[in-house]
Amino acid sequence: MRRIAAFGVLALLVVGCAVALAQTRRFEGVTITVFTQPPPYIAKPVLMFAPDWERLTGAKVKLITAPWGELYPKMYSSFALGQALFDIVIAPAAWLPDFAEAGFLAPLDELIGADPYIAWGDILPVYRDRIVSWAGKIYAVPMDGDCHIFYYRKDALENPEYQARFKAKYGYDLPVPPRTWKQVRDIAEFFHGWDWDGDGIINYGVVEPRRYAGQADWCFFSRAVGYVALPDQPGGLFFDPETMVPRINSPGHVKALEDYVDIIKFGVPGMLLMDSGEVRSVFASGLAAMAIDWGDIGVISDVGEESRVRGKVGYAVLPGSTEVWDFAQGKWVTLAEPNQAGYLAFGGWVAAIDRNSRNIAAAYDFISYLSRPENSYISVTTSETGFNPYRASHFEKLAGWIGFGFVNPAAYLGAIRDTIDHPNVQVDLRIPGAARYFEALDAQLALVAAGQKTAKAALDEVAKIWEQITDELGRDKQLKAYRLSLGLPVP
Amino acid sequence: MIGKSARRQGRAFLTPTVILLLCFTIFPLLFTLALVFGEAKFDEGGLRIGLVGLRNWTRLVHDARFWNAFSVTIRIVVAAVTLEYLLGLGLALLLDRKIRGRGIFRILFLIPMMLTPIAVGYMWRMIFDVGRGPITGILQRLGLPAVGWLTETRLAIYSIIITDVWQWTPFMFLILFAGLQAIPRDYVEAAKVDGASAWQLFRRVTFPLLAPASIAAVLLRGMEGFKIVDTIYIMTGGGPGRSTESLTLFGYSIGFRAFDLAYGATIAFSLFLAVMVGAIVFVTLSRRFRYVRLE
Amino acid sequence: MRTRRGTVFVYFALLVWTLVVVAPLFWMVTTSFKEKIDVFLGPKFLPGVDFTPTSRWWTRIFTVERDTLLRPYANSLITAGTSSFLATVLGALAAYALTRFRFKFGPMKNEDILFWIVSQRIMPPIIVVFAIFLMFRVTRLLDTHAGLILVYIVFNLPLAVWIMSNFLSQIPPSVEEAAMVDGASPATTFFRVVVPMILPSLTATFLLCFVFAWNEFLFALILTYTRAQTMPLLIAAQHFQRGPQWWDISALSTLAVLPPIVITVALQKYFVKGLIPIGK
Repeated sequence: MRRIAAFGVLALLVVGCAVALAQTRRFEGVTITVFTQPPPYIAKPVLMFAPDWERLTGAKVKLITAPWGELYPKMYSSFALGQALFDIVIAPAAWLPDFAEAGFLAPLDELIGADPYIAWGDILPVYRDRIVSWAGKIYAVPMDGDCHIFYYRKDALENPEYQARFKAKYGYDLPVPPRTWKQVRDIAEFFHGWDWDGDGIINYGVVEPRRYAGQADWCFFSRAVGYVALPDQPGGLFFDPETMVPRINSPGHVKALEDYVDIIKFGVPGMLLMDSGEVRSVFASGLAAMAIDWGDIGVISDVGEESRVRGKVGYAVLPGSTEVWDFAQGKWVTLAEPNQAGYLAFGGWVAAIDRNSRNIAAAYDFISYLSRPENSYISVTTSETGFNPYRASHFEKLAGWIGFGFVNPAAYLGAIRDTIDHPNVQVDLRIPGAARYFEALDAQLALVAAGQKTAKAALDEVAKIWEQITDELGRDKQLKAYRLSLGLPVP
Repeated sequence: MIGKSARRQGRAFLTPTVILLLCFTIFPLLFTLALVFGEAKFDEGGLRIGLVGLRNWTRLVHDARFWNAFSVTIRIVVAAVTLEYLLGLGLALLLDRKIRGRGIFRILFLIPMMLTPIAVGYMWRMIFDVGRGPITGILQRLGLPAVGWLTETRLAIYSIIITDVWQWTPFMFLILFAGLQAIPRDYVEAAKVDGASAWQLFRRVTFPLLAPASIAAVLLRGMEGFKIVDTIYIMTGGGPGRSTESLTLFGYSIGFRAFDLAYGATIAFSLFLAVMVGAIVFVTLSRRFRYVRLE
Repeated sequence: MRTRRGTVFVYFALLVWTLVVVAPLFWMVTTSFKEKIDVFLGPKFLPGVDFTPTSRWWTRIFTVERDTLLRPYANSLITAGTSSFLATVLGALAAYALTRFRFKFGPMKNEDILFWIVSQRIMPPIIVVFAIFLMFRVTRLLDTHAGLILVYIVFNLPLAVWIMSNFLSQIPPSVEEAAMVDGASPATTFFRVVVPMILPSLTATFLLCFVFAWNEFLFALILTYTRAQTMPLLIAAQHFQRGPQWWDISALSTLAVLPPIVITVALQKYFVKGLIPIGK
């Protein structure tokens, strides 16, 4: 009898200890699934930080991936069919309106408010307030900050001998960096077709993406933003914020498209079929003098092993124009100083949670872990993560960037910061159906670039299709969403 | 006599096939038809399809991009299949003799067909690359200017055709070669005894007896060719402009990238109809040549 | 025809075509041995002469990237092999039934049923792919071997049935009838008597189905995520944010082409004989 009693007490003690131990790890036994594109880009940080987080919380992270072209349909149908196949999706910010509007996502305001580690105020305001929130609620946590900047070869543009020859030919000093697209065109022409870096290989003026489905549409908007976006007139890039009439075929946009086509003749051969990825490798291999891209060219140029331009790259805010199309006045105006703008192309990747997930708390915890300042700093300064800086703290500590391999991180980060903080910063299109609007434009861009259609005809066609999409999705709804995305009051 | 139960068992051999095919074609076909005559809306309840009649068809018929894709696809199929047939026939005739290394040649010639079309697309994209490809290298060594095989609007479609011919000639070769082996030697010998020249032999004996194989080869390859997408996607993405956008690629862009399911289904369905009509026409026309009389 | 000139011409033509076949393959294989910079500053033709070959991509595939590589390779072997085998067997059974027994489903007789089966091949995959995606979502077959195998069987059955029925219609049923008179059931007759006679055709069918399934892209793209990823998807995935990784693509493509070649060489005797009746 006494032996049984003793045994029983011992068993109770053991069980009690086990229970106590188990409860010190918050999410013991939980499995969360993360869905995004295949590693390395975007998924690598998940793989980097999951083991530590798993150890800390007792939960498990499962990564499921699908190729880029499949992400949107697979995410959308997963949400819509209601089975919470994925707890977390890491998706482009442009898709957030579609998902949030349809009620697929879990609002995160309370979770963020109660989170002592996320340092929400450290995230740059534009990402924090405009990119991840929708209709007054926060639906995602930023993982990555995106904007387009302008790249150029310092060894070309800053070379005194070339500068003198340029001035002789064009009659003005070679601006470093160029501030208008006209200057870019002249510089491209000047540096096109001869070996200006002395390596025995012919160099060219520019390299930019032009391939259909190759992210060329963002390149176009980067070129348009200076022509159509005035600081005191929101909504210049896409629609009229009062009526939702498309602005894509304004004279400013048409001019930008004509530039976009015109510069191809000063581009690297084959540029017509290059997508944004190939552009990066080509610029890093030293062939072109100028380029437009997200932060990736900067990274690949200094860190990538195929780079032959390490330390030779200059960074700047996107050029603009002195001739600007003023929507309010309905005409061209000439400014004394070029009108430039920052364009937050793509908006970055964000992490959101399926509202039907059974592990919302655990999922949020993992996202928070990825985003907290120390960890996200590692993500943006590690190669092949595809994450660009989005927190103030990312820009302030230079040591990590230098360790990453950057030769001149201050200049690189400066250009990005100047773009994000620009007084005339423009966010990307963030309304339901954004993918469809962009696809319509992308299809027409390819035709114009190949010389099969004029710029005006193409953009008029795009405007027509955009009207159809707006009508199909509900004009009032779209107008409201558009105004929200611009930070304008909704009547 | 075969007993009744034996007959039933024999007939049952057909069942698994029919069931599998029905399962995988009935629902998808109905689903697609619903989309073709309707519109798809996703909301919190899931996917809802509402019928809207002929709206998608009207849109398709008036869509210049559709007709362009149709024209591109037909041009590629006609050109590629013709070349593949001629080359395949030539190769089959060449290897229809006792020459040394015949077996090795046969295997070698089959290799292009074994590569996945995605890989073939990348390979030829490299080769055609205007800046760094070997063709440019060779042209430059001969003092000729580089050619934008994939970036010139007028040339791109020919580059796609070349790639398709490179990959699928083995398929034609295989079927035609098998067909040649099937021709009874007696006919050939008889013709030769009658003093027929090589050309007469080909025209009066070989080619007509090869008709069933030719028809099968062209039909099979034509049907497959209409669906061309992988190589184009990798090599040009449908560009420059739309000069290489095939019907399947167009349907994929609309259905998956823009996520316009109903219109995408309409495009895909039109492709199906086109292939079906083409196949029926071809088979009907070729029935006249199926039965050969030898004088 | 047996003149010297004739033979020389034949060899010359064959060598020309051999060059046409081999040259692009040569380019692909050598690219897998190039450093990145050699690809970007190309074209570089001869290893050792124009550039220094490196084995690092291959080494990386077999060491660091082994897991990323092994799974798609194994997946491809499993799905293509299983589906082709089953498609061949089921197709042969169906063809046997159609050529030996009379059917009547309403107005449809044997030829109509055969036509219906073969016409499924006309169906472009893009039509059915999203519907099948939804079906698999509900039945939880997404990203599984079983799901992809089922789809490939269905995709290849028409071809199998066509080839087999062509072959079987050439063989007189006298041998089987003798066996069945002796009391053998249709199943026994089929597997013991018929199969040995149609072995060439079976192997030809298997090989064609295998090649088509091995190289299939669209269904694999839509119906899988990571677990059941196949080789064509892996190759397509080598196109990262830096543009196509030509060296990796070349190495992986070279690896991917080996199994079909090996099977072709092993089965080549049967291959051609098996397709002969199509020419009838």
